[in-house]
Amino acid sequence: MSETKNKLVIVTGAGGYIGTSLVPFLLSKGYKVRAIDRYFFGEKLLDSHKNLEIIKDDIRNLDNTHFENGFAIIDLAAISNDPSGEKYAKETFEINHLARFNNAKLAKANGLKRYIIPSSCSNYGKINDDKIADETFKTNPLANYSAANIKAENDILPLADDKFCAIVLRQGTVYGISPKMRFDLAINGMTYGAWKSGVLPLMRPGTQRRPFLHIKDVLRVMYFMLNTDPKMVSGQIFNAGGHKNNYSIKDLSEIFKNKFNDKLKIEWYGSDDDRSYFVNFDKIKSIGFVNKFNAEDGIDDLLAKLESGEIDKTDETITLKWYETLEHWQEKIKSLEIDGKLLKL
Amino acid sequence: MKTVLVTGGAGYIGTMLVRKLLENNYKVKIIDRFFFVDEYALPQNNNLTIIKDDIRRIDKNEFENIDIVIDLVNLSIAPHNNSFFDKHTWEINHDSRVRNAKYSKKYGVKQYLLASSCSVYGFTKENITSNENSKLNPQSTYAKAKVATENEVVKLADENFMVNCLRFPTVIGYSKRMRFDIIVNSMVYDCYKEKKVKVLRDGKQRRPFVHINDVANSYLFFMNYGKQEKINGEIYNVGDEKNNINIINLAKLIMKELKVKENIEWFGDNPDDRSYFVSYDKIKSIGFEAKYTIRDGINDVYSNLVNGKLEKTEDTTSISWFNKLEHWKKIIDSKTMYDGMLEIK
Repeated sequence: MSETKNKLVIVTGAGGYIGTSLVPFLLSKGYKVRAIDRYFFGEKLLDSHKNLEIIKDDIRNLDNTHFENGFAIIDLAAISNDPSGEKYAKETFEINHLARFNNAKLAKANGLKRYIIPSSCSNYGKINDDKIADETFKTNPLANYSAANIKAENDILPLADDKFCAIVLRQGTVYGISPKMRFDLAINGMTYGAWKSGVLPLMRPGTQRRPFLHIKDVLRVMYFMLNTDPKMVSGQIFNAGGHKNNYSIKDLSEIFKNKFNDKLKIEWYGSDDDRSYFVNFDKIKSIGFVNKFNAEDGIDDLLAKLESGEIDKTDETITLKWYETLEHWQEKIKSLEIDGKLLKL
Repeated sequence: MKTVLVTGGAGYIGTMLVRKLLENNYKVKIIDRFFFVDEYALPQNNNLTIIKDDIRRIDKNEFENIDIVIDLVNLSIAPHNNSFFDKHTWEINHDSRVRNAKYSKKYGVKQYLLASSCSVYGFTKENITSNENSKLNPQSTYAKAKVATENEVVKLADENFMVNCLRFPTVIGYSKRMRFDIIVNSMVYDCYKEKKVKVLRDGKQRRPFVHINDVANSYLFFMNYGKQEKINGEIYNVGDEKNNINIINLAKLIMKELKVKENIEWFGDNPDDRSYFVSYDKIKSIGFEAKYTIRDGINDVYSNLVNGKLEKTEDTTSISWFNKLEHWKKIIDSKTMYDGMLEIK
């Protein structure tokens, strides 16, 4: 592993679910971090640190100055799930595809060595139960979110050369605790429901199969990719995770039933989920990354923090709901303001 | 056809009074910020002109060609010692209304009617019933601003400029801009919704009430009074002694009317600082009679809850709505970039 001291990593989406965990993790590893985000979900989720520079800006408006002195960029910024991607289609393509493509070009032009784009295993869409997707498997985007990821991958990977290492990481559905919590992710939401009211929310039909990924493994794989020999990874796509994190929704419900002594009531929701895919992680394993944590670990972490009251299901933890809430109040306030003011004139 | 300018025309009293004025063939112009309802709360009528603006910025030209000004605009009673609301209460309830009265006089308005409040009597001993000559004992900034405004505007009365101050007790009843932060309305709501009524200790505080229809009728009465010069500059309590009641009896009356088993939830430790009964001899002596009873008000609110015309939305409690707007304004301002939220320019 190379020397991390003084290397500056730019993290976009630094105020998000992964970002608020990744930034302190990178700082703890000795990196300098430039954390860029609109901070829609809160501005106090990142503790100040001598090696941390916080920039509040929109991912769509970055320029050369944001990339100065950077060693690498981890381009997390995104409209981060399917429902939000459907509601905010234009913004999803602007941010998840075009802005990240632009960041990759800026990164290359400004001499950054590495560019890591977190993409998603949802790019594989629905595949037959007897198949398992490796990185060569044909993608089948079923929503704007995955369509934008694929466009970004396709545009960014060709930028890779011997001086610029561009890497695509297709992540499973992430779970676990983070300063910026999300309860709109499958395992997190199920844990909350089971803990709060003894009701396990399961998305229909229950047979759908998904790869998951513990947030701690996200941090580990990012660190791994910052340090691996570029020749082994540049210009390539990796499924990020491990086979033990391939679960069907029913597998997960069994885990919960065991944890809660069969006292759970199951509540089915949604129309049948189209997305079903198991993913093959041999490629990333072959270069030395082994995923360490599983769903039980994540659920235990979540339960501990729910019990202690450190996390809760607030509006900010449901991505789409929070965006809609912000837009609702933005419109309301705008209609009531005079010269930008309410009661105070 | 006479033209009436109603300030605060989109408020609790305003939305109902404007209807009545239009029905009685007045031309009406209102000015309001529309913090609580939109223009649909007012009738579509060619004789109605709406100015959506803050009273503190009203242009003096708006007083030209106006026959009568009904000065309703007000910030409702806020918690004590809140410098934010105290400041705006003085600006709106006092400074703006004194200015309105002065502009009215200057621009040839013939009659100016100030909406004042019986809360100027504040707290009195149990055996006292306050009349217009009683010593005033205003407790809140709201009531103090009322007293100061009355003092200023009555001085302006002369043979060409008729001024009256109408001291209303707590108003009750249904309005297009509903308020559930005033006592009868709120108790009826709780009784309907939760089958119980919350009473502020010790329940012996004495309060006068007036039905919103009588408020509107009283304005028509003063506008059409034959010998205005005889009552010019006078202050009147508006209501009827039959609607003087202490709070615990009011709670019991509501439960009886709604046929709910007596269920009182006590709250608060500090005794209420408003307790007074009011005499209406003066207004009766000039021929005004308040027709409606507290029971009418109870049934009026109740029937509109039952038929679904009323709901306790956030904007039916004035001060908490302002607090909510200010709270969200801070959030929205801090999150807005490039003129937008998710969508940016």
